Amino acid sequence: MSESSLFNSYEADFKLSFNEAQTKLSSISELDGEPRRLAMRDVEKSMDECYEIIDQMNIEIQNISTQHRSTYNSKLRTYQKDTDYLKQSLKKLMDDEDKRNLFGSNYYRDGGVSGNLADDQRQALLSNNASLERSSERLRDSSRIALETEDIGANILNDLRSQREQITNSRNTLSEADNYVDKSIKTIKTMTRRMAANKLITYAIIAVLILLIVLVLISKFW
Amino acid sequence: MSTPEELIAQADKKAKPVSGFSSLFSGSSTYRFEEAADLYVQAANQYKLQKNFSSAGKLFEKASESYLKASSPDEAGNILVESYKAYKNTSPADAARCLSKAIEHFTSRGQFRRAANFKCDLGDLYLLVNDKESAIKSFEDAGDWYSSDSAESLSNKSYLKAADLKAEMGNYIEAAETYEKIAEKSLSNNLTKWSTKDYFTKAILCRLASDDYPGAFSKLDLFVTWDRTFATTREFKFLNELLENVKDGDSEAIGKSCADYDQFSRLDNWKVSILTKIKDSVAGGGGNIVDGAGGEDDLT
Repeated sequence: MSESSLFNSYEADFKLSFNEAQTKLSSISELDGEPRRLAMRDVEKSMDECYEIIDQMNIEIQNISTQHRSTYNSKLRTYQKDTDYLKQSLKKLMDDEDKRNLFGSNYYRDGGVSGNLADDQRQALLSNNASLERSSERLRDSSRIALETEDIGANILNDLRSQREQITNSRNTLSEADNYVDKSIKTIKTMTRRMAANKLITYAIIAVLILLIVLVLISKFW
Repeated sequence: MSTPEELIAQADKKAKPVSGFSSLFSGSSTYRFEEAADLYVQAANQYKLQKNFSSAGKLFEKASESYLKASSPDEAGNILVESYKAYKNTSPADAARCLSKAIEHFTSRGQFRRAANFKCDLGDLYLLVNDKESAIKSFEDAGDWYSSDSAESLSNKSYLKAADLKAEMGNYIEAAETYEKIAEKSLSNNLTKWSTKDYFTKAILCRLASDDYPGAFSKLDLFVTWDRTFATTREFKFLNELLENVKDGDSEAIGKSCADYDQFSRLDNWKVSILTKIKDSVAGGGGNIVDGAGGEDDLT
């Protein structure tokens, strides 16, 4: 378990820097001017640290045995996501810097925070809605694909049946041919037998004839 | 190797009927014709090498004639198939002619299975030259022959092609009856029963296209008794909707339900055209003519 203990220590480190970044980020909106910029830089620094630790954990995770790896992997993913979220909010704050300068800090803060909240919620709602739509789209796609697959399957089964019929037919034809071959072999065998018999008979006749001729000759010259 | 022209000249000489005295020396006439056919085939193969397919086809035909004279119809049939292959790409009409002659030979020799195979090819060929009537006839013959040879699936395949064509020609009632017959035959087999819902759908659509609403309705009920699982399919739901809409004469709703159905399983061209026909007839019958083009847009 030494490998996972290393991972756990990294995890503790990560939590530390993550919390630091989070608290600093939440305190930024209170600040103004130079300290604000400093705080931002601080947040950025701890965030970089977070990313670094995540990278380390990523490497460390290779050493963990496969059956435990999935839980660590999911942990790591949530960390990554959290840090990404943090980075996004920081970026937004930085982007708003110009607006803030323009509106003046007091005005921006008063109107801005509540507006920001509503905006955030709206944003979240919209993104949720979008992801819902995406998933329903994906569902529709998959059911369509499933139906298409079913169709293709039905067609394949049909083809299989016709091919089966073709194969049976070829088998039948083949066995028929086999029968014919058997029959012809039998015929050829009888033919050879008859031929041998015929040959024998022919020789016998020749022998008898020769005998007769000899007899005739003998009777003539005797 | 001699050129095809020389071979042809030789073959022509052999094929000429020999009369009188010289016939005593030149062997039996069947043998001579066989030799001539052989030479024709050689020449044809050389033409094939030169990619001169129409000449090759003509020579194969001549060879088959010689084989016929040599009284071996089996060979004649085989060679006719060769000539069909040669003609196939260049002149489909000639190819069809040769193939139908070959099929005649095969059927006269009792080789229905082979004849059916070629009959299917012949049907495709007729489709190529847009002779749908003959194509339907060919596919039906093929189906009959296959089923007489107890090859249900192959016969169904041929019947299905014939039915599709019939529906395309506007002969909806016959097409519907064919689909019903195919579906009934496919039900009992584990491999083919998955396609029955497609046949059911097509049959109902054909009935609707021929303005036989009560027939379509009763058939749908009948199909459910044939195959209980059909009632749970999307096709069944779609057909029910369609029947409902046709009864109400609501062509807009037809377009909508088609579009809904198309979302999940694509309607092929065949179905699109027949659905358009149904929709148009409903729109026409209802008195308010909805433009047909709009219907097509909905469906595609």
